[in-house]
Amino acid sequence: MAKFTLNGVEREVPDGINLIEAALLSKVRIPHYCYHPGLSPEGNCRMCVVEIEGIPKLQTACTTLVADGMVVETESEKVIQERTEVMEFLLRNHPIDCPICDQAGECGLQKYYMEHGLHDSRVAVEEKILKRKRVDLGPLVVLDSERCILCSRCVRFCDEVAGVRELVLANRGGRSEITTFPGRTLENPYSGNVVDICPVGALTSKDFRFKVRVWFLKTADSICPGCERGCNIYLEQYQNEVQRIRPRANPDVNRWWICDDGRLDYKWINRDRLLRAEGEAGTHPPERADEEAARMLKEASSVLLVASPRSSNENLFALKRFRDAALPRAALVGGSFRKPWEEDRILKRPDRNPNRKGMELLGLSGDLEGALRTGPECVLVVENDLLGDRPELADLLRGKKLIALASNRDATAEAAALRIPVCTYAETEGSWTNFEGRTQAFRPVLKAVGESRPVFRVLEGIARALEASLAWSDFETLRAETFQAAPALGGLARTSGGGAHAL
Amino acid sequence: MIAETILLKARMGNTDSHTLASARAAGAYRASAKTLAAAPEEIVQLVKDSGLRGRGGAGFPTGLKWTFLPKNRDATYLCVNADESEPGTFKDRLILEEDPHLLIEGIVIACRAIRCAHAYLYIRGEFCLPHERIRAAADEAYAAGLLGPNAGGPGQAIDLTIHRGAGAYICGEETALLNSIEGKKGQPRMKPPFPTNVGLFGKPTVINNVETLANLPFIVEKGPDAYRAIGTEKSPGTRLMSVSGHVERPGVYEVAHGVPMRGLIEDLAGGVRGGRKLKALIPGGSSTPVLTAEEAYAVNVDFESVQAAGSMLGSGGCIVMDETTDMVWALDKLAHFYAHESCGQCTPCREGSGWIAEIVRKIATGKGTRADLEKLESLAAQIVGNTICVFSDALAMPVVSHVTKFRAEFEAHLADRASSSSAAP
Repeated sequence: MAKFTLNGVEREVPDGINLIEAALLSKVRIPHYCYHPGLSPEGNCRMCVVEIEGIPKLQTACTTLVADGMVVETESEKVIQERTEVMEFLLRNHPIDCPICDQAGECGLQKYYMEHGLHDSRVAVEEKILKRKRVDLGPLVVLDSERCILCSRCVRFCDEVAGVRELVLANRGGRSEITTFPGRTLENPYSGNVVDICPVGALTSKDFRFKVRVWFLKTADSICPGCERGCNIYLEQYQNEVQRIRPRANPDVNRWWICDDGRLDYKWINRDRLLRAEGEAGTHPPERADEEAARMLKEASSVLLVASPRSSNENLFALKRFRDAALPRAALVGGSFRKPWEEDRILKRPDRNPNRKGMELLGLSGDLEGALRTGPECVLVVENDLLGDRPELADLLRGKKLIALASNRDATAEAAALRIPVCTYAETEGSWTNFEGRTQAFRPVLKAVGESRPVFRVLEGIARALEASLAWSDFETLRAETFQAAPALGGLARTSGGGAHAL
Repeated sequence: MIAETILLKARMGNTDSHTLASARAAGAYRASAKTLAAAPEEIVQLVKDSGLRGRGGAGFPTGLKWTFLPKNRDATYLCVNADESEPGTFKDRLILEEDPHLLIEGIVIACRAIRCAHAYLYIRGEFCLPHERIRAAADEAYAAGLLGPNAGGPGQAIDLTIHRGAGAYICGEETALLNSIEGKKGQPRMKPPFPTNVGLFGKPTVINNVETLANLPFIVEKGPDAYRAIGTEKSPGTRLMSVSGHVERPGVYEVAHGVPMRGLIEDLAGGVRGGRKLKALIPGGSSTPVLTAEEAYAVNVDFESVQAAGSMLGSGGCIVMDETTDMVWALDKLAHFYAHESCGQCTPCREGSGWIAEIVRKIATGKGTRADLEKLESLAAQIVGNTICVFSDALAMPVVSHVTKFRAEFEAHLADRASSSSAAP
């Protein structure tokens, strides 16, 4: 531990951290642009300068490690003046096109200009250096060079995190520009992160730009459903449609990053949703749907319930309780054939199901094909696109009465005799347990789409129609029961971090 | 009348002075041979005792710099800074062209002193003949065993790699030079760590200027006392002064530290051209504050005297400007040079250098206003001291000194100058 004095107050912080981090632990924010905790410090933007007793020149906080006895001032007149001057330089050649800039509302220049701006500009507009606009860097990212403050975060991200040299700071002085190396494009599978870490509007996302002003977005803490890593994300919606996904920092899971596949893995939430329950005789209101399902299950001589490694722990537990309470003779197996993808050394894991581990820990694995071969008359598939993932299962499913609890019109739902709409992870509470056994919660950001309900509520309804007793007063009760019944899940993991990296 | 004190230029002037045969006939490599019997610590002590100060610009004591190397180290590099790019400075070029073996001998001595087995020489890209000469000299030295596997004694290699720059002023900054050798973009590194701890390829590294190293053979051969007998107490030895601009005989003059600047200009360089009067003088390369004629005639050619006058002897690049010089025009040239050469890494320098150049051009072309002049001064103050390297200081110093010392000239250029002074053409 190091004892140092920050703005007149003695603080104790761990050794070996820089002054930005040390100040943050003491709830003091030091403005900065080029520094990012996930990248090597550069000290080039000069925004984070602080006064340190005994050193005549101001020092960059990002490159100065805290030391015992250090006396640091972050708000002295000298520091404030320097920041104001740096702001003036940063905006000297900036186009100030906030009204048409996607970064507006979450821009480091706007943020600090309100705190440290000159407000009476000394820059003549016609004197600004003109640079390249709308530069197509790669499949996901567009560059506006005039907005760029040359902090080099994006260059360092590619070099240090993605491990590919795709971006470079070319030219010198005022003509410096971010560009791709000749003949290369920004196409590494993590390229979208440069948009998040760009503190200004220079790098924008082709997928998100011009869609919606960021201040209209509503945000929820969520977990990426793309693979068993369980990267922490923000889900952001406007008019009840998910507009973008951004990484949420978690040093134990994904640090500050997500892969591009995860970033774009939201469009299905807005598309081809199953809005109402549909049976062979047409659509049903929710209660009728539950009764119809109950009738099919009751009439069948044998029933197979299929759980999914994409369901939440809570929904999986509810399914188990449903079997025990309402259909004790039914078989229950879990499984998915969502084809694995290639893992990498950064975040991507081979298994593309977010809750394989939770399903196993809840004792729901099993031999799905074997269970299907025993010839159940009725099969209830919960949040599992068996036919979409493995079309060859069609033979085994043929002739069986299929009930699907599905959020989207996937192949399985389309083939089912009865399909009941359920909420996606974007509309409900829940938790997934990642490959390391870390159980992480996700929060809803959307209102339930159409007549979809959480899986456990649908199961309650079917149980009711089967005259079985199954009811939870609220989600929290279900969660508490789940974690109690399956201590191996370990309860919700505590994270040592959280939040995005705020400037 | 002052005269040159010849120490480094001793063998120069003959058409074949750059060859090994000629240099050896005149005593080259006698000093380095002497060091083969000496312990490295003895050589370091010798150089410390001599009081030799770096000739690249900062004037840091060479021997002291060497002692900053960590005691236990597995490898050490010597980098020879031959990226002479400071406007007004061309004395290293003379050594490289006329007596490259003097430099190589200095390199061998330094390598022996700091236990370096591999030296790198970083030479300015535009230096064509100097590059040709130093490369030929290195080939000769290798052939003669003065460089190579046993150059530092049996089994002790001293290798020399010559690396050509690609034409960036900033690569003369020692840490940008290291990056450039490593194949990275030539941008200064954050200090600390200092190169003596973490330098080239992450190893302890000493970076010395060409002229600095060229002093070593004399110090080793004649001893520190003989060296200290020349020059002043704080600036021992001689100085290669590059004199350019409005003088009758521009060139490189070797003078003992402490001689009057007036003597250098008038006796050696033949005085201001055409019998005109001196108006201003930049004493140590373009980044050192300009002196008025009065100040210039009052200083001596040594670190301490020029410093006392508010400037620096720097790299010894003496730019003479006569009474016909438009000081706004002169600053315009400097400002555009710096705007062109800023590496662009740090915000204040990247944005400030271009902005300053623009305002100076505006004033120089008669479009500037009083507000522009004030902005110029405040911008110069804004860029000082808040960057990774001292490049921004190197721009701010000439700006501040030009505007302060020749304010009337700047005001006369303004578009909104007071009507009383509107008599200006």
